[in-house]
Order: sequence, then structure tokens, then C-alpha cells
Amino acid sequence: MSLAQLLKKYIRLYALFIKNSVIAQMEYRTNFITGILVETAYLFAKCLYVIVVYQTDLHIGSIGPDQILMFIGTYTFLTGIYWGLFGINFIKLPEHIRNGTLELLMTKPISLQFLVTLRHVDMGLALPNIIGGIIMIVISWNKVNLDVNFYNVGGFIFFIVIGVIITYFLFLIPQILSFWFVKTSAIDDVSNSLWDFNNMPMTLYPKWAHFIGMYLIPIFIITNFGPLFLYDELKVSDVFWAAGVPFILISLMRLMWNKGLRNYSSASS
Amino acid sequence: MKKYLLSFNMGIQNAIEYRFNFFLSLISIVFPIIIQTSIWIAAFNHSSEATLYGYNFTQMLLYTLLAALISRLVATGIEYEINEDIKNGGLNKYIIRPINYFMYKLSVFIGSKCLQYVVLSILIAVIVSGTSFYIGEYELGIQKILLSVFILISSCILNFLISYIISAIAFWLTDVSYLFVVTTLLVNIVSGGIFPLEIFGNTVNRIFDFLPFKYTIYFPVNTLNGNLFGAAITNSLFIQWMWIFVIYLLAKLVWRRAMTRYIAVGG
Repeated sequence: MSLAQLLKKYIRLYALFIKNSVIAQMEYRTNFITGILVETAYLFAKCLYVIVVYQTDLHIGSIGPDQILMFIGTYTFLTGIYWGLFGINFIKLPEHIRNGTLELLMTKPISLQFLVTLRHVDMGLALPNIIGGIIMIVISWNKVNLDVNFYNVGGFIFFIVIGVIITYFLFLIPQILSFWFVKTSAIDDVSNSLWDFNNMPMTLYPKWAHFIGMYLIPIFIITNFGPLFLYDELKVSDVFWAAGVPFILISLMRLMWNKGLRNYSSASS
Repeated sequence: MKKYLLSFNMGIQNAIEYRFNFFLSLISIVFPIIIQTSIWIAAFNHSSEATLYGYNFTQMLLYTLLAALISRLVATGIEYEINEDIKNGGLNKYIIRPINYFMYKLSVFIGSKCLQYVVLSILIAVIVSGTSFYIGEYELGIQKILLSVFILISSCILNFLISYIISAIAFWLTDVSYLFVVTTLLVNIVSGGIFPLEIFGNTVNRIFDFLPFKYTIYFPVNTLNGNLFGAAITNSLFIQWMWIFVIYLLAKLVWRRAMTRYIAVGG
């Protein structure tokens, strides 16, 4: 099978996954509504940061409250993407490993990683954050008087796409650890807390945290680079680094995934 | 009484068994502390005022640190356990046995909190005494230490009661585990677990004055950071215990009514 055919097959499969997930959510509407409620509550918590930023007239270097809103908006939007598309699958991986349901999935004639990590899509978890994030981005865009042109919009979308790819690989890695550890709720807590660092411009943090978030655990690339690009604060080397990081993470993740699978001892047999 | 002592012991053993998870979960509270501390440093650096929301720089940093630690200390998670008991019929065994479900849950909760209480109290003591020693903005006498210990224990009991009464929702709704994520988060916000309650403005704060939540996190934190002193602490402590009694009575009432709806799955 050629690469194009393979890609076509997986795109068709992913469309089916989305369709099935939406049908399931419309069937069990309570779950859909409670998902919206949960994420609306989290959105409310994120809005507290917006309140503090504006009430205290927070300035981080040359970045004022209206510009900070763009960072919080991008973070909120990507939180919706993360939980709606990936997070809901990632938290099920330790369950599959503990309960031994992973071997059933292994028998399917498609990539196990694709099936386990992209099988479910949760619109309830995604919608409040995506809508809230877009509203914040639009408000900030207007208040900062940014031009709506191909360069700005295209560049911003490019960094959003890079952010989505990095999110997938970076946050799958901690879940792969469940091949070795039984109780992983604290690992979830730690990676969720790490995600929240993206809420603010990275220049807010001390230099050492800045360095870690850029090069060791490249969390800041996810939501910071889009707004920094719009404010013309990105260096050319940063752009190259952002484009290269997904490849490093793919290699690391695949290495851990294969090692983890070799370590997997079927729980049910 | 012996059965509740055994339940208490069970709670301690459970906490010791999962100690690694607890210590790892402490790391997760470091991150929000770093985020919020960085925000306050930037806000105070830029502001021409010496105080923000009525807190000076030291008090605000102490608020951030202590609110994160006390949020962890008072957290219960019993809603999920009770939900499981109601949905899967686990409550049956407590109905037919000579044990009070509330007392059993309270004993296990207190037992499970012992290890956390010791570890977090040491951390809080180090932070507060360190600040008192190096900055010397307020006195930290033995009286205040004993009072703080008592207030922290009262806060844990009050939050347990709030969680206990909220968990009764599981008798009326089919699947509420998601809903408990919402209630836990909202209770944490209105308790002052993320930011000081002053950010909500005077009007909303007047409403908070008539609710029990601020006496679980906001009150102990402000006692420890020196923002509350003298009669204000005694008054708040009185209100805190008043809420403990009110919610205890309310919980008894709600649970008595809720038990009539219990269908004892599997029993």
C-alpha cells in the first residue's frame, strides 16, 4: 500500500471514529451535557486569570493585558482540542493496560497507537474551551489592532497546528509510563499541571523555567509561539526549533511506546 | 467506639499504602504555585500600590502557597466513593451491620488525612515561621500556632461535611461522577483555593460571607498569613463551628430523606 493510500485509509477511519463518537454522544446526552458542564467550570476557573490580569493591569515586559488575553485564549482553545481529541483517549490507556483490554485492540488490522489514542472524540469536553478560546482570541486581536491578513492568520494557524502536534506527543509520553507503573493518577496530576503553564506568556517565568519549557519539556511552544509570532517577538531560530521539535518527540514517543509494548504483560490471560 | 477506631486505623493504612502517590501529587501543586507566584511578582512590580486586593506582597505570596497546600489538606474525594457505594449497592453492608455510615466515613477520612496532615503541617509551619523569621512582619507565638492547628482541623471537618452533603446528589441522579468534578472545582474557587476571594469584588464577597465555603480555605490561610488577627479570628472560628453544626444537621436530614430512595442494587 502506497503512502497516499495509507493516509487516505487512516483519514477515512478517523472520520468514522468522529462520526461514531458523535452518534454515541447524541445517544447518551447526559454524558455530553455533563462534559460541557465540567469544561464550563474549568473555563470559569481560566476566566479568573483574565479577571486578575485586567484588575491588576498586569504587564509582563512590553506585553499588556490585551496581549496577554491572546495567550490565555490560545491556551483555552488548545485545551479544548487536547481534551476533545486526545486527552479522553490518553486517560484510557492505563485502564487498557491494567484491565488487559489492550490485547483485544492489538488484534485489529490497523496501527495500535492510532486506535488507542484517537478512537474517541468528546465534543462536550471540546466545545466550551474552543468557543471560549476563539472569543478571547478575537477580542484580543481587535483590542491589539492586529491586521487580519494572510501573513498573520496563516502564521498563527501554522503555530497552532505545530502546538497540536507537540501536544499529542508530549502528553502521550507520561501515559506510556503506565506500562511500568500501576497507579498513575499522580502522573496525570503532574502532566495536567504542566499543561497549565501555557496559560501565560513564558516571559512571566524565571529564566530557568523559561529554558526548561522551551528546550527540555517544550511546553511553551504549544501556546506561546502563535501569539509571539503575531507580536513579532519570535526569532528565526525559534521558528526552526518549533518546526523540529515534533520530529524529536515522535522519535522519543515511538521508542517508549515500543519498549512499553514489549514490557506489557497481558493482565487477563 | 472500637469499630470506628479500627476504621480510623484502616484510613491510616490506606494512606501509607499509597504514600508514593500522595508525595507525587504534591509535585502537581508546585506548578500552580509557580504560575500564580509569577503573576503576583509581575503584578506587584508593575503596580504603584503597596497592596493589591488588600494584601501586601508577602501576604499575597503566602496566600498563594498556603491556599495550594490547604486545598490539598482539606480535599476529601469521598463523593466518588459514596457514589460508587450508592450505584453498586456497596451501601447495603453498612445498612445491615451495626455501624453508622457517616461515622465510618468520617473515621476513615480522619485516618487517611493523618499522614497528609503531618506532612503538610510541617510544610506550612516551615513556610510561615520562615517568613516570620526573615521578614518579621508579624508575631508567631505558641498561641497562634495552637489556634492554627485547631482551625486547620476544623477546616478539614467542615469540608468533609460539605462533601458528604454534596455526595447525596448521587441518590437522585443516575451518573454524577462528572458532576462531582464540577462541584469540587467550584467549591475550591469559592473557598478561595485558587485566588483570594477579594478578586470577586465587594458585592459577591458579601454573598460569600453568608456561605460556609470561605471557612475551609480562605479563613485558615488569612489567619496564617497575618491578614486576620484578634477578634476577627475568634469571630470567624465561631462562624466556622456554627457552619459545622448546621451542615452536620442538614446532612443528617438530607441523608435520611435520600435513604428512602435507595434501591440497594445487588441486595
